[in-house]
Amino acid sequence: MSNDPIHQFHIDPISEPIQLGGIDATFTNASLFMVASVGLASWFMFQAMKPAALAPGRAQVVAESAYGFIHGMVKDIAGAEGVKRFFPFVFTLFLFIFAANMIGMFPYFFTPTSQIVITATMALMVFFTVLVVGFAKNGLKFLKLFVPSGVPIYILWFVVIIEIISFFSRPLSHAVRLWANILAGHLVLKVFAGFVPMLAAAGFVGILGSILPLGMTVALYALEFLVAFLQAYVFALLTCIYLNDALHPGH
Amino acid sequence: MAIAPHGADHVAEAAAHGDVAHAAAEAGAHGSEGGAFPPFDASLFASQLFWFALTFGALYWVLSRYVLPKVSAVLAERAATVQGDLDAAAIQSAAAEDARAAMEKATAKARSDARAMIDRARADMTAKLSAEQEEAEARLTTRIHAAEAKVGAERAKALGEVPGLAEALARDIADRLAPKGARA
Repeated sequence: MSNDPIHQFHIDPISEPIQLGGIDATFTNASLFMVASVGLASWFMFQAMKPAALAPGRAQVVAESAYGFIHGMVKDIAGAEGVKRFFPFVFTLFLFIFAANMIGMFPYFFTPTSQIVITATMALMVFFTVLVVGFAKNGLKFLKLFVPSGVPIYILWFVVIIEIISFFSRPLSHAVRLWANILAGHLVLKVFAGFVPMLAAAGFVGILGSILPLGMTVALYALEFLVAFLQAYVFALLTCIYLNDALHPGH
Repeated sequence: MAIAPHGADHVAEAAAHGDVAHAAAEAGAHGSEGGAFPPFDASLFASQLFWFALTFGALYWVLSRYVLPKVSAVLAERAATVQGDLDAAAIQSAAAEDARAAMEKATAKARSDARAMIDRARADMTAKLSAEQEEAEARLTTRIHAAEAKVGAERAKALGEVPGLAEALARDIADRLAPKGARA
């Protein structure tokens, strides 16, 4: 096994190269783990809600809690209209990221959310949803998003420039936040875990010394589980905040 | 293995496994050559985007079509059941409250009835007793009067007899003192 910390982000084909209408659709380890994440998440949610019991079992409680968690968040931030329009979308984003992050916690597994192209695609989906829904629903009034009320006229032009820059940098920060957290977490884990065999190979003192990076790896693993959940939550939360702008552009 | 640029590392690894053809094919088809950091390797984007669209769409479809409506239906049903149970409990509790009020009313009525009955019985008894007492007193009074009258009569009679008795006594005494012949 390679000790290269970048190795875990390599994408290797599993199938023969597949071309669909000129698009490269080769089944890779990234595809495999996306399919696995989505399959596991769908399977769990589907099985958990199968009894549809009034007094729920354990799995159903988990599924209902996830529903209540995201539903409450969308409702608090984007209101009842936000729930009506965007709840399945936000829930899918949350569950996809959460499942991918969690599956990536297994050693030797690939983490789809460690690829900027995936997180950027999700961020751009949110960004363009905000643009399209914002203009479709509010027309030109959507531009009021860039003109905060109650700002003195002589600095308004400056505030508008800042608002526009911040609006267009949203997808960047949205995508990079998730990607960088997952990537950095996995890199640090791999580096610390790599110290363990390296030290252990250096004799008795090395074996004693390897306890330190081992303990560090265990602690970081716990932290990474927190990050895996937290980044899924933060991504969904920011999605709600941005989608709310599409529905209620007035500040 | 030393940290090496990814592409070279990978090719070397594959070559070490005697799979030069595979390594070359991969480097060609998938472009993970040149030591590019894999997340920034644009030649890998198309396949990831394709499979992302497929899996994300599938997840959206499963969730929005089956799972989320089911959860909201279950939650609504549970809320309705709980609300219905609460309403039923409120109705039953109101009924129990009514029954309690009726029971208290009945108890109060029975208590006042009993008190009235006792009062009446006591009044009756008192009246009867006082009547009997008066009757007895009246009877006693008449008997006392009768007895007093009798005593009076006896006394009068006795007093009436006293002069005769005294005369007879005097005569007797005189007879004893002076025999009949001496007086004549």
